[in-house]
Amino acid sequence: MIPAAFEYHAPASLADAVKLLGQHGDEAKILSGGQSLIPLMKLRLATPRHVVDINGIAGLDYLKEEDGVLRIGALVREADLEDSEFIRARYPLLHDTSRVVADPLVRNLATVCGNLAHADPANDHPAAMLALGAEVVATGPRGERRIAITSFFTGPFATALRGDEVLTEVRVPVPLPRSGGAYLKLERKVGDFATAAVAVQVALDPAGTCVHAGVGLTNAGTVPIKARRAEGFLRGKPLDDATVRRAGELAAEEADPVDDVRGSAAYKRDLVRVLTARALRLAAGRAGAGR
Amino acid sequence: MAAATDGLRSPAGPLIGRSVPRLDGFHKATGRFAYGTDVVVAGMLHGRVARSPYPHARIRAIDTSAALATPGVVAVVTGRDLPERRFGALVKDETVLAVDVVRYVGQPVAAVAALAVEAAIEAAARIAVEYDPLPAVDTPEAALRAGAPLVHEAWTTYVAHPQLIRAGNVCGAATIAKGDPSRGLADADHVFEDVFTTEPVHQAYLEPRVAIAAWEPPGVLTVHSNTQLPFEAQTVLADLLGIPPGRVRVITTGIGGAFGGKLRVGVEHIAAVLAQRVGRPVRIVLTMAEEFAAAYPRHAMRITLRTGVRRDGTIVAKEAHALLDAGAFGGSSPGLPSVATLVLAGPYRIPHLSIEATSVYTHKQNFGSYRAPTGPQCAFAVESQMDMIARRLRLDPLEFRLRNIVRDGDEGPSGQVFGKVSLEAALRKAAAAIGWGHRRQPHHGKGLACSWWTTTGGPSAVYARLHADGTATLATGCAEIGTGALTAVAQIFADDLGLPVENVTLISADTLATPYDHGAQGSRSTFAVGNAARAAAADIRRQVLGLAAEVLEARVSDLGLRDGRVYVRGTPSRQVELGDVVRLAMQRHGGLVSSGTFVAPATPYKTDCVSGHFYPAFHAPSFHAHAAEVVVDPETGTVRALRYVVAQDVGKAINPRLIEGQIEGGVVQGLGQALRERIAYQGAYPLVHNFSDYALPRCGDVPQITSILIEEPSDSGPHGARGVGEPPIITPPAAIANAVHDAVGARVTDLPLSPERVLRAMRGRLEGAA
Repeated sequence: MIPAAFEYHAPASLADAVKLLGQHGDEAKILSGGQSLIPLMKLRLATPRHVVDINGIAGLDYLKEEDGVLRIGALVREADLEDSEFIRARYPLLHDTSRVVADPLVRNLATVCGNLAHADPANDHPAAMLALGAEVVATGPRGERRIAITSFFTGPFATALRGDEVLTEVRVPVPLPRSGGAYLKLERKVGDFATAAVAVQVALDPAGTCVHAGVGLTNAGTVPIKARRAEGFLRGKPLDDATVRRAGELAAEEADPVDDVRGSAAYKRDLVRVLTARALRLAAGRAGAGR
Repeated sequence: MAAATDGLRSPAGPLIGRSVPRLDGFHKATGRFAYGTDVVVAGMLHGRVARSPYPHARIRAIDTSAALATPGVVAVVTGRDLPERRFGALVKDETVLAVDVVRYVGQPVAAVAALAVEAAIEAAARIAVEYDPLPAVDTPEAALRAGAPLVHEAWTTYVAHPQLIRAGNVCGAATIAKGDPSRGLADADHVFEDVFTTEPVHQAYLEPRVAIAAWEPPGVLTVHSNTQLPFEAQTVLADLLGIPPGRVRVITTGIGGAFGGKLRVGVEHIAAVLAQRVGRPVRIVLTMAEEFAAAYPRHAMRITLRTGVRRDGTIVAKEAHALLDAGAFGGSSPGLPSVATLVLAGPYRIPHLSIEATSVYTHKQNFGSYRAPTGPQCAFAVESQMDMIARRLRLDPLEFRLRNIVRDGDEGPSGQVFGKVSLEAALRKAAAAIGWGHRRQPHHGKGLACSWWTTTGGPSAVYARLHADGTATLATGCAEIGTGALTAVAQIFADDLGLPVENVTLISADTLATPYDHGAQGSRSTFAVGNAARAAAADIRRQVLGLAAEVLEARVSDLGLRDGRVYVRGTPSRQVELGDVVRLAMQRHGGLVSSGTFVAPATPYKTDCVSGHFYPAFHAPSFHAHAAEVVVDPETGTVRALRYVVAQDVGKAINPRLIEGQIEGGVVQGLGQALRERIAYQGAYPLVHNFSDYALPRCGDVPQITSILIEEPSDSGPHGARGVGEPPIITPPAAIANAVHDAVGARVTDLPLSPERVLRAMRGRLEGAA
């Protein structure tokens, strides 16, 4: 199928992009990687009258650690994370996540920020960013504002971005010493949306006690879920088998999945239990390996 | 016509058994090949179909005014605008567009022709239809219940094949009865009853169906479409439009995958009525959403098997009942119970049989002929149960099969007598290759399964012509659907004439220009067209040698044909170029042309043991054994296939690499059905609309596949070849289910073996043991 008619804009600056959003409001959509937007337009599930392509804007493709924060610019592609040795070594959760987003063709174009802004509860980065405690930068007519990732996802395909704001950056706090993360995803076929997936990020003290835990769930509800009870339970405990199992059970209780073609709600909930425990073991191992 | 036993026919030469590159390979690999969606006709309009959103509803009114007012729209057609003519292979139950009642979600209700695709899409969306929803039947069981709504209230008035068994929602039924099954079951030491179910799966061809219909002077309807069966489309279109078939020219375009999904008329008829209405060519390309909603996917089946076995592991009797969900129209469904009964019997010696399969109308899309239709479902049931019985009797599954398989001289389920049965070799080779019986790691398992299949008969004819440059043209009515079968045909033809294969140009599938062919279906193309090509080659070879004998002043019997030259045996310096012979023939009588025909000999069977059959015996049957190794994640139920082995009797491998391609492709599709694929339904509403919803396996999901080709020549195939295209898809679901059981002790009797089902079976086993 072919998309409905739309006006194409290719602003040369962020200011121009913001201005276009201001002019067209709800009728405009930002095009970055286009790997969600274009299929939706072709299926006519999205029919924006104006498409604002930000790919021509210089200076949005940075990926750098600065002042205790990893800054991921709006045009950083999934493949950039996947191919980065630095990301693999220091942010294994992000590396795991980028590697299982769709397929290589998609990852060459799809952007990390777009994965968040699209706010599909089946997208992979929202859970990762929830586990990492990231924040996003929204740029609008009055400049930049930061939004904690925990208040970013307001509903299925809905975010705290205003109609005239562009998501220009995601900011991930630099991991604590002895940190590790992991993303585990069950998919029906390679490159599928998750039946369910779990992102975890932990930091250990020298004795092996968990001092920080982040747990995010993909496709376990109508929005990406931060499993706060599991996180709270983990803090202050050694990540032994009984602890990670119990954390898995808590995360499963926090999941709120629905039946769909990928599985029943009961199965997905059970999957969250299994994957959480496994991801915690993997993350703890990685944290320990970095000691 | 040259007879099959022509004395001038040469024995297999150097081209037979050689993996020559496929003739269309270069163009396909470099993006130059023209598929159906690449074909454009000058001045064509664009068609679009408006479809039913309900599984069953009465159409109260259709308002086309807004659609007609859309800029660029030329015409809108509804069912009421067309003469009420019905089509269908064995029962004519379907109209081009719905009239008064819709019977499935996705049924065509109206069609639009417009100057541009955009306008056609817009207008189709503006066709306002008022529906009164009616109760729908969503399963065969529901459709068979007393008082169930009839999918076709007027079914008795439909024209149907006289042998077709119909009753209410039953649109086809076939049985096999042999011996005394109740006695057999009573005498057995053990009787095992098991129930198996499968869900619909889609051919998932990457190119949607497309047709361009144009009325050309002097009143010929020309349709370009990516159909597998141009001659069926020709007949159906002539019927629907009330014109002689000789005025219908259907030309098969390049085909981007078909797998049986493009056998029956799909979009040609809608394009044709639009083109007739507007007097201009009209093209319709379906969307993938339409392909998932309204195509001919594989039937969901429910199969009950009762098998009686003696203590020593000899099967004595079997009862089988199978229901096929036909969907809202007949299509292929009425004829398929016949095929199902043969697969349900299995390649086993069973003296007492009672097998019955029934196709039942429901308010769903018309399920149809996906590669080896009914094969995977029935083999899943039969071969799963073989394993289950072996384990219950504490017999090795390989040993249990070897005790019961058919062998030379045995009788098939309908009384056909087998010769050259290679099944034991296939089983032993597959088992050896997978390391059957070797120790294994935890959660790893191995599974075996075997089956048998037919080489569909039906006539083929070809025209052949030699050119003055030493090249040849071979015209066949058979389409190349991507298997490479026509490359194998070119090999066979070139081999008989001593030509390099690249000197042969295939002209294919044009109902007014190429001779009739039963079509690219049923694993028959290389087999049947290859035989017709051999007949044509023998004829033209006789002509060539006759002329060359004059030129060389030699006896015909002393001549040979090689590398585009005729030479005198023993004196190779006495030779003449083939092109010179052709030139001489052109001067004498207009050139070197021939034709060749082939009709597969009928396979004798016992008429009294079958009823309602349209396919009572498997011709030139092939036997195959598959072996799989899997690992199961005990916590998530995920199954990963690690290795896969196929041992298949191909009769004679004309082109081994093409056959391996067929085996690998079929196994991948079979693994898809085994583990992932299903068109999920909620009631009669489909939940799958695209390749995101549909879990087609991808490269990373596919294990290493080993192909072992067994060559036990058939009596009737070219050089002994048997059909090879369909068999590889039949056995994977069973082999995988058996391997999963071996790995974790859990038996899943429903396809696909989704992680959820495997996990449930594992837990059920644990609870059962507790």
